[in-house]
Amino acid sequence: MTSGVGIRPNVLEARQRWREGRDQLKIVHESGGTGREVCRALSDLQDSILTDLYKFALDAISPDLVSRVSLVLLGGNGRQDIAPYSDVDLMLLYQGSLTDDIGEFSRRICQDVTDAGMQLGYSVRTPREACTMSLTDAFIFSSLTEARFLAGNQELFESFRGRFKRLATRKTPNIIKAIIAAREKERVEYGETVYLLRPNVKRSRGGLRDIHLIRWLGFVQFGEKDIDALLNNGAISTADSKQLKGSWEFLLRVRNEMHFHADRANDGMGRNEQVRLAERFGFSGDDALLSVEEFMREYFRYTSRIRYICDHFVNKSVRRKKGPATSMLEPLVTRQIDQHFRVGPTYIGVAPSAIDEVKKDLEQVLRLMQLACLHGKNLEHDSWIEIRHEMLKNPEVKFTRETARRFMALLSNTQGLGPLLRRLHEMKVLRKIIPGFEHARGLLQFNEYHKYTVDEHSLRAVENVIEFENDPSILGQTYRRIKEKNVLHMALLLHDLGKGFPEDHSEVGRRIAAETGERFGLPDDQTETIKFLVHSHLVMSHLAFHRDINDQAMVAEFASNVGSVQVLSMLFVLTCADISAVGPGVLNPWKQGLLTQLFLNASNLLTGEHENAFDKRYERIFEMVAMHSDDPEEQDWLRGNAENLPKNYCATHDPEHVADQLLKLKFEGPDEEAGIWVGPIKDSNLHELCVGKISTRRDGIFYKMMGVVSSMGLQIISADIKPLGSIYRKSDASFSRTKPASALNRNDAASSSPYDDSAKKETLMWYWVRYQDTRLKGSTPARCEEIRQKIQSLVSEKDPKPPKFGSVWKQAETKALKLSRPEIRVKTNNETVDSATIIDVFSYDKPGLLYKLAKKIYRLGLDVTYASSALYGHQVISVFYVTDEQGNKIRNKNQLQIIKREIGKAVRDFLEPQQAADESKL
Amino acid sequence: MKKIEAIIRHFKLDDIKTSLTECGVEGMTITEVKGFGRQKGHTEMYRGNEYAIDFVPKVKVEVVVPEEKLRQVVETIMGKAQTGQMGDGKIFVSDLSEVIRIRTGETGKEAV
Repeated sequence: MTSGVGIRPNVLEARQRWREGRDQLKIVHESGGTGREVCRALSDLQDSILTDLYKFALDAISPDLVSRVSLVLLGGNGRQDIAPYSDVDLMLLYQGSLTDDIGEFSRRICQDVTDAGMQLGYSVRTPREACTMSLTDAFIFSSLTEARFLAGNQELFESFRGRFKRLATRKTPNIIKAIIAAREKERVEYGETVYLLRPNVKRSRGGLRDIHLIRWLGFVQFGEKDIDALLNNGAISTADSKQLKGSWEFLLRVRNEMHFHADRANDGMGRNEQVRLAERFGFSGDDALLSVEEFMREYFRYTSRIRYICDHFVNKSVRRKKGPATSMLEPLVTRQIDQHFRVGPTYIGVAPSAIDEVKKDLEQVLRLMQLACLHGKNLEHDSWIEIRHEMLKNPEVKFTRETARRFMALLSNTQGLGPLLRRLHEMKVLRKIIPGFEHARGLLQFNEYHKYTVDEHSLRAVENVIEFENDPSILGQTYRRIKEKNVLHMALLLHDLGKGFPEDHSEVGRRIAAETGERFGLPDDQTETIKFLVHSHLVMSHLAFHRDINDQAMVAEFASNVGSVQVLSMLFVLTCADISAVGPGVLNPWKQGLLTQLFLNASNLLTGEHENAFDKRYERIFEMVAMHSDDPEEQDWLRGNAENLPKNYCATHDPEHVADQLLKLKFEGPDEEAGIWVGPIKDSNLHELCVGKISTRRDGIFYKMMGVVSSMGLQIISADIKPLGSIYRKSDASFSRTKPASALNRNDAASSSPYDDSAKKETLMWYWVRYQDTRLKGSTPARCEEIRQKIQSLVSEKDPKPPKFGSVWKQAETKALKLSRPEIRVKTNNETVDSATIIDVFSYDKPGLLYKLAKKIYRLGLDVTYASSALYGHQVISVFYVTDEQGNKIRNKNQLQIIKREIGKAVRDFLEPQQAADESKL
Repeated sequence: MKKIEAIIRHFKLDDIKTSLTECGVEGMTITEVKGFGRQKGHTEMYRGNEYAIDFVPKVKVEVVVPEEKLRQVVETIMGKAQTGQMGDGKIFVSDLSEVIRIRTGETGKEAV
């Protein structure tokens, strides 16, 4: 029988042997045979079949060829760790010229091996050719590294091996570089991190390839590739060799199972395969963890070990690549920086005399890591091993308040924080600081959404948030403005640690945050913020992606729950970082756009004015207002005042109307100081009261006005006060400039309160109240006039009497309000604007509320420089910008506490008098 | 067969998905899109910097239905997506010459 006509009997027999032998080994595998055993047996079986095929071919073509050829196994065949459906990697080595008989022999081998049912990778080379080609391609070099003699002329093989070793020694630096680069390229394609949710057993980070990489680098540097030989050579430590062998065994067994089950080569571990493997290997799971999550955690434990040992070996190789002089000089240029630590040219480590002390002391370990990041150095491997071992074995390692302080200080710094946390996690230090991190290690998030495990996701979230530092968008700007970055970073570390428990992970997370706050001895406000951020980390994305972000009632409820601009800023940034850490490209411009818009909308409510975001369309309105005068100076005056009006007012009124009202504020004589208008608002069932009045500090006109309005049975929908630009008196026919209202804007850092010069400084203030007249059905001009006169008499009286409220029998409380009564809360904030302290009051509404509030603020000795209060659904958000009598922010913490408590009490006493009375009795 | 592409407000998606499922639509494709129609983009200022909000975020729903179901599905989408305000979106309907289910090779209505 000749080739091409049919398959030769000996090949058919080989095919059957291979098939049957593999089936038998499948049984061995299924009955618990180790990965190594099965691979070795597969390799032996294949060796034997290949040898037979070789002998048959030799006999058939020319037995004399035996002196000129050598059959060499490469790659996995050389290593003897082939999987059931691995390719066969063969090289026919020959010497002399490529004669016809060698050519025929080569073709025969190629055909027979293929016909025997094996996938063949094949080459025919002389020793010189093989060596030359290995220099052009790192893949060929690494494959030749594993070369093992199978049959033929052994001397020829030995001569090749000698030549190849000499070549490796001569070109060591270049070869190391090429091999590492090839592996890095492969990792980019198959996954840079260990914690992939669909890893490739062979090629992803921490996979079998990383073990191979150690072997190849070992061969180049020490002429040895076996782990035991490298251990004897001192190239790796006993602990590393033990861990490497254990992890290798685990991966081989998993890979064998995957190949046997698929009946083909299969190294990619998809989701269904993970579920099957978990079941196959007896992982049962529990209420909190699925069996697949348990299995994958085990998988990641092994691959992360391989990754670390491999990285360390690669780093050492790179250092060695720089030449023996560097390696020899390294100990000489290493200097002790204090009694504990020493710094070399590439690494930082613990002095041998101090290691026993340092490894038990978390604070010192943190300091070491801080120094490593500061100097941009790797951690010395021995120190790493010692510390990691101590963290794993010694339950006595104490977490102290000083450790907590140092860790929080580390979290404030954005420089190098990502790598630092990663190292702490690898060294098992992070779990001593935040115990919840141990549970999150390698914890799979078995859903279609996440790409990484919980620990990897959390670390990435911190790394990504730091990237926002250079982001030019509102997101980046918001992150840069956050002062307590450590609070945000801590919340990011904790936000998903509640996963893997039966209960909702946000609830568990909140408890973990509370425990962490206590453990760290954080101030109450920081603990509260972290608890809130962790508990609400899904809220903002839910609202932004599933609700109408322009629905004022929804935004108000959200803003009320958040409570302050600082916390809102943190929640916005945390939400974006969380989404971005799910996987590459998940935080796309679409999602970021919606989140940003929700952030801006809520931020506007919490700062009370659209100071942060205003539409360019207003520019046109201001221009149109200015156009109502021919006098350039008057145009400037109109424009300046229009810019300082509440934006909402400008948006809802004709420019002509705005100009008419403003022009009435050009006062005729020295006694005139107010313009008042009352009337219906176009296209609505609301009315408005507008007052432009020259005010001095401490005149309390705002609260008194609120009193008059409420006492007349008008339900306040919104109330704004703002300082305008300048005062005009016809008597001296000039514009007297006052501080511009933009002083409230924090961009104007040098500005201060409009009142800051003296208590008697005059300012033109604008009061705008939108109301619903509850006493009348429809509002008549006479009623509007009545209101106008009341306000007129209020503003012209020097010391007006307090308003009288009519008795209201049993104020009706709607069912809807009863069901969803917003919580009463008061928040203060000194961060958002430079010129004033902001007080946000969240509550529900009742006629007279704003009067009580404004009066309380007045009685507390505070000056209101700006106020805005509006009703959204059932929620009232009242914002006051206040200063002390000298026009400064209230910075004293005790004073702020008193203000919060007093205002809260006033609101409660007013809204819930019965409850407040009951509580006071208790 | 008809292909329906509906550009809707993103927060209407959950409602529309539920209603379409109830009226027998078995599959749909969702894409996060941005664009503008009469509801033009605008520029916003934030802390002194200008940001162009050129395109408004929307969701595109693609559904393929047999001709006899077209009206019902379009009306369902209309009913759920409408707020009466500018920016409610648009529905595009086009003829479809063929549908093939890759796994089985089924074609036409069977494959929808």
